[in-house]
Order: sequence, then structure tokens, then C-alpha cells
Amino acid sequence: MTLYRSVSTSAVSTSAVSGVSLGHRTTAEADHWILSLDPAPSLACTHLVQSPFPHVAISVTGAFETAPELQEAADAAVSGKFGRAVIFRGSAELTGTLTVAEVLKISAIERVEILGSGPADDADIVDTRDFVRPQFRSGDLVLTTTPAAGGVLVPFETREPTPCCADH
Amino acid sequence: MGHGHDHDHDHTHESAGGDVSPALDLSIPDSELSPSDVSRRGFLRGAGLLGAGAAASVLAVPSAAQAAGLPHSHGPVGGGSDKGGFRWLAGDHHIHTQYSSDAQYRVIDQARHGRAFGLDWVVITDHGSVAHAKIGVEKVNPDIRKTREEYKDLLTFQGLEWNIPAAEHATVFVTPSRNEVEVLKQFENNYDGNLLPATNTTAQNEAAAIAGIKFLGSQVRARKIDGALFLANHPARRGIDSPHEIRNWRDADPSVAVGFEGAPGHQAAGIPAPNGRGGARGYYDNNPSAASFPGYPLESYRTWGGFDWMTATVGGLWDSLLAEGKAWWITVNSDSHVNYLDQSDRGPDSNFDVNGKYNDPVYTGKTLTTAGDFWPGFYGRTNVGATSFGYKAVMDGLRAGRVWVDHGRLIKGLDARVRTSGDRRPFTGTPLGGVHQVRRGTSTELTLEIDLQDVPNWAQFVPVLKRVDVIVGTITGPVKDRDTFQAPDTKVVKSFEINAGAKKASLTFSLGRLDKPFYVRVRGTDGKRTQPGLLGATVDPFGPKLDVSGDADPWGDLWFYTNPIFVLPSGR
Repeated sequence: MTLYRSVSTSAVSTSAVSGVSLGHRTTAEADHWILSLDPAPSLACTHLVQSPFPHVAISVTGAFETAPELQEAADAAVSGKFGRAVIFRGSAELTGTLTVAEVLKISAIERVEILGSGPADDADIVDTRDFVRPQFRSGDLVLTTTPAAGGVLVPFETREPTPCCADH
Repeated sequence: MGHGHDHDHDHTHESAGGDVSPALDLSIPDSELSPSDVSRRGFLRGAGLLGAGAAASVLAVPSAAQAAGLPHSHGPVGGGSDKGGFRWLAGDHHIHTQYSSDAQYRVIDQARHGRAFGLDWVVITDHGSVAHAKIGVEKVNPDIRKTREEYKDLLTFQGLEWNIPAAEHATVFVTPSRNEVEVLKQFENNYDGNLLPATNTTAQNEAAAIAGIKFLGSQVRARKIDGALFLANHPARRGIDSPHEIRNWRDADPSVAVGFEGAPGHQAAGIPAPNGRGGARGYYDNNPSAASFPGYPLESYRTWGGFDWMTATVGGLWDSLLAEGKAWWITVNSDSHVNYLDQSDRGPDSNFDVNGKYNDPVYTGKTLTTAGDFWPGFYGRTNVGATSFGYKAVMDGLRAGRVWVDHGRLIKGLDARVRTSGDRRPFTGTPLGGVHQVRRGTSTELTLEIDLQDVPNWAQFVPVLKRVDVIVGTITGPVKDRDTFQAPDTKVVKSFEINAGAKKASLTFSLGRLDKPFYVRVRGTDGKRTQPGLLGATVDPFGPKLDVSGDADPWGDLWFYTNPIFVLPSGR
């Protein structure tokens, strides 16, 4: 599991990670499935895969069944380099407003970056909006943020992005 | 083809829609053509189907490509050399009405606001959908015709917002004619992504997009309409317009697919709460999905100084197209659906699915502080250099790339030309979108005459231009990897500080003696929000800044962008 080097060495669990695909069309659907698992896994990531059709596959601690026609997607997920982490060490603690230093201390996130500007300062404030989805990059778990109203940073990914043809 | 040359690449002539008539080859003078070819050339020229703007690549000028030592592209050649002054007509190619399921205004509501806010032309672009294809595309036409009658000094085009199969949305519009509805309806029914089988593969959908663009060109060649244009809308919003798709659209028919939005609409969406929506400028708040092009970085999903990442990044995707020699232009627009601070709502008892429209809007007295859009003309302008006031002239100017854009009326007017050094005659110089061809070794220069703003914009202040950047990139010819989205040789080569209080800025920048083919484009800003460009400070020291989520005052961050001018060796 070199892929999850930083997490598996520091994560609470050392369980094996396996790939699974249920053909979820969106990350929200995949997140929903992951978050409904009982018992909760210690690590779960989503992966955008193109084959056999564009969808969201999952890598997760524990073993789950994948339909034969989606097996290649499950395999792609477990060997994927850009996992988007849904559950990881400390993910449940990343709520409310935290400093960057606190995020790094209480979770498996190794770097907090500001989109287009490089690393955030330890003292910068992150308003987690109770939705934190860092991504693995070169084996490191990185949370990309953007500046937001009130002088805080917010995670790049928002829980409810504007849909394609929003009723705005 | 009338020009002889050695090559080993395919001769498909796709860019000419399969038309290999000598009429297309401007290296053959009119005097050597058959009478029927002269007539055909005249028609094609009149239809805007000749010229660099209509070619897949400016390198389609064979002598230019050979002189530059680059393989030339095939397609209609020449042109793009209109000189002298133009009548600059401001417009908006992306406007929704009550015939869109997520909008509410009448055609005339949008048109008269656009006209009042200074526009000369507007395009009505309701969403392609089952209801629109069946009902709306026809029903909106009498409303548009009535608006044309009512406001003769406003050019009101009918178009639609195409769900490009496998990709984002695009403005598609045609010149007015008795066939305008028939062409648009047939196009929508056959090629709209929402009306195609859900079982289509990505490859099938990408092919359908290409076929749709070719269909539009075929309707012009069949003389059913005088012109049809395609502009890709909010291209980086969800990461689903891959670089190769954009290239494929252009190459499918370069007389139709001419560009994309340099900046999205919805520019009010980032105005901070409680006075505004407090969202993301342009509604650019998405993240990668399974349909996204995997190579796009997270930076591409947000706006930078209100502009789309593809355009805002110096040396980025747009520049990678220009560096290929692909004539590809940028625009801005309102994408107006529901407008900031308006006080109306959809008419009561509407049944959109049955009627193809919402009932006429009603005044409510409630101020829409959470609406994310501006009325057409209120904020963004696409300024087109036209030879006259008319529908075809606007389309021809857009196709030729004689276009500059601004937000918040940052400047009043702009005349940018590339000249052979020292030649200051008023009727010479190559305008935006054009190709300036000179002998290798000849000195050229960029001249900019900028009328600085001296009247207030629609936020009641007079914008002040602080800096003008000149951006230059070498033209290196077609790329091997059609998913390329960087142009490593493009950068800001000069920045001019503008003196406060001046009425006019007359700037000259020497482009040196011509060695390699290149292009030049220009950008300006009020200087209020900048940061080093995404490809580094050596490429763009004072680029546009990432817009702040929930706190992006559009009036406090103004930019203008021009389209490029190409400079090529003539080889003679």
C-alpha cells in the first residue's frame, strides 16, 4: 500500500484497502454509500474512473463485492493515485472552524494549500463547513482551500456546488 | 488545390466542409478562376467563409506556413487583412428568457434592458431541451420578430444554448431569415445532448457534437441562412470541455465554431451577503466529476478576475490554441436568467412543460438580492469591429476575431493594430483577429489607442485603467497531443502603467524584426486585484487574482482583454 503510505503509517487502522465499484455516477452518491457503512471503515476514497463508463469507484478498508463488469473500475480505484478521501484519520473531528495547524495535528491531512498560491500558514483559519475532502497527491494527503468571505479559508470542494442548469 | 506542395499528411479538407473548390484558394487570383468559381468565391466571401477567421489555422496561408518552416493546415486561406477603422458594436451572445426552465423574462424585457445599457446586438439563447425543441424554439420567434420591429437600432438574433453532446453548453445562433427557426429546430432535435440517447458512449457524443457543427455550416452553404456561429459557454466551469474537444469543434467547421467565453456570465453571484448572493463569481464552484477531463487542475474550476481559467491563464489553454495558429476568439456575456436587484418573479400558474415557457413575469416588490446575474449590457460587453450596422456584419466581425471585451466599462474604446514599423497611415495596420504578413526581417509594432473612460459605468463610477499588458507567443504549429493546454513560450512581454487623469492612452510597443511567426494580444486592468500568474511570475507577474468565494465584488476588479493579432512571414 505505498499509495497510502502517509495514511497507513499514521492512520488508526492497518486494515487492507480494497477496490469496489457500484457504478455511482457522482461523488455525492459514492460519499453517501461510504458514510452509510457500518462499521465505518478507517479509510475510504473516491476515484474518478473512465472505464467501462465514466463513474466514481471507491477504495476502502475492508472487503466489498463488485459486479464482474465493474471489476476493472474497482481495480483502477485501488491502484489510483488521486484518491479523494472521504474517511481518513481524524476526518470526523474536522468540523467547525480550525486553524491550519489544528487540521494538520488532528487529522491525516499533511498539507493545506491555497488554490493558486501555495501552502497556507499554520495560523490561517479554515472554516471546514463540516465537509472536508482532501486528495492524495504524490502519496501525500493534501487539502486544497480557497479564500472565502470573512478572511477565512474554505475547502475547495463544496457540499452543494451549483448544478448545471440551476434554478437560479 | 491550386498550390503545389510536398507533404505526407492527410488531405481531408475537413475545415472547408469537404469543399475543395479553387474558389477557396486565395492564392489563385480571381482572374484565373472560372466564372462559376468567381461567383462562388463572391458568395463565400459574402458569407464570411473566406479569410483567416474562417480557416482552421492562420497557417492555412500556404506561403506563411512554408516561410515559417511549419506544416501548413488546409482550409480556406487568406483574408483577415481588413484595415482601417470599424464601427464597434457592443453585444451579448448569451441571454435566457421565459422559454428557459431556469429563467423568467420576456424577450423584450431582456432586449430593451440590453439596449438601454448600451448594447447594439443581443442573442436570445434559451436552453436546448425537450420542451424547447418541441415548443420554445418556434414560440420564441414571434417574440423576437416583434422585438426587432420595436427596436430597430438593436440587432436581436435568435439562437439557443446547445447542450453540446459530451460537453458543456454553447451559444449557437444564426442570421435572421425565413429559415432561422427551421434550421435551429432541426439542429436542436438532431444534435442537442439532452435529446440524444442516454446510452450513447462518450465517443458517440463527441462525434455528434462535431456533426452538429458541420450541420450548421452545411445550412449556410446550402444558402438557407447567411451565417451560423458557435461559441462555447463557461468552458472550464465543470472541467468537461477537454482540450481535444475544443480543437475538434474548431476544426469541424472554422466558419462556425469560432471561440469560447473568456469570462462566464453570472458575474453578480459573488457579491457578498446580505446584499448579494455570497456565492462564487460566475457560479464557478464545481469540482471534478467522472465526466471531467482528468488533466485539468483544480485551478481551472474557479474564476480569476472574473475570467475563465482557460483565458485568464497566460500561457494556458487559450494560448495553446493561438500558439498552434488556431484562430479562436474570446467573448464575455451576461448569461442572464434572473437578475440581481430586479423585483419580478415568474408569472403565476405557469406550466413550463406544457407551454414551453413561463407566463410573463410579474412585479413583486421583493428585491432579488440573491440573484447572480446582471441584465445584458449592465456589466460585460463583447465589442465587435463591424463594417456596418447589421446582423451579418456582426457575425462577420465575430468570425474575423475583431473583438475585444471588458467588464464594468473599464475603457471607453480601443483601436489595436499591428503595423509595419513607422507606417502610421490611418487606413493601414492589421486589426484584432487579423494576420499581418511581412517579409522576414521586417520590423513590426503594436499600436494601441485606448480611449480612457470618462463617463460613469452602471455602478455610477468612472473606472480607472491602471495597467495594460502586452502578451506575445510564438506560433509553433499544430500540436501532436490534442489535449495540450499550455503554451510554454507565451508570456507578458511589456506592461504599461497608465497615467491617472489622462483622456487617452496612445501606446506603441516594438515587436522587433520578424524572425518566427507569433501572435500578440492585450489585457488591461484597474489594478485592484492581481497575483502572479499560475505559470509563474516570469510568465505573468501581475495576473488576475483568484476570486474570493462569497466576497467577489465584480465592480472592484475590472479587466479588458483583446483577441490576438497574428504576425506571419510572407516568404516573398
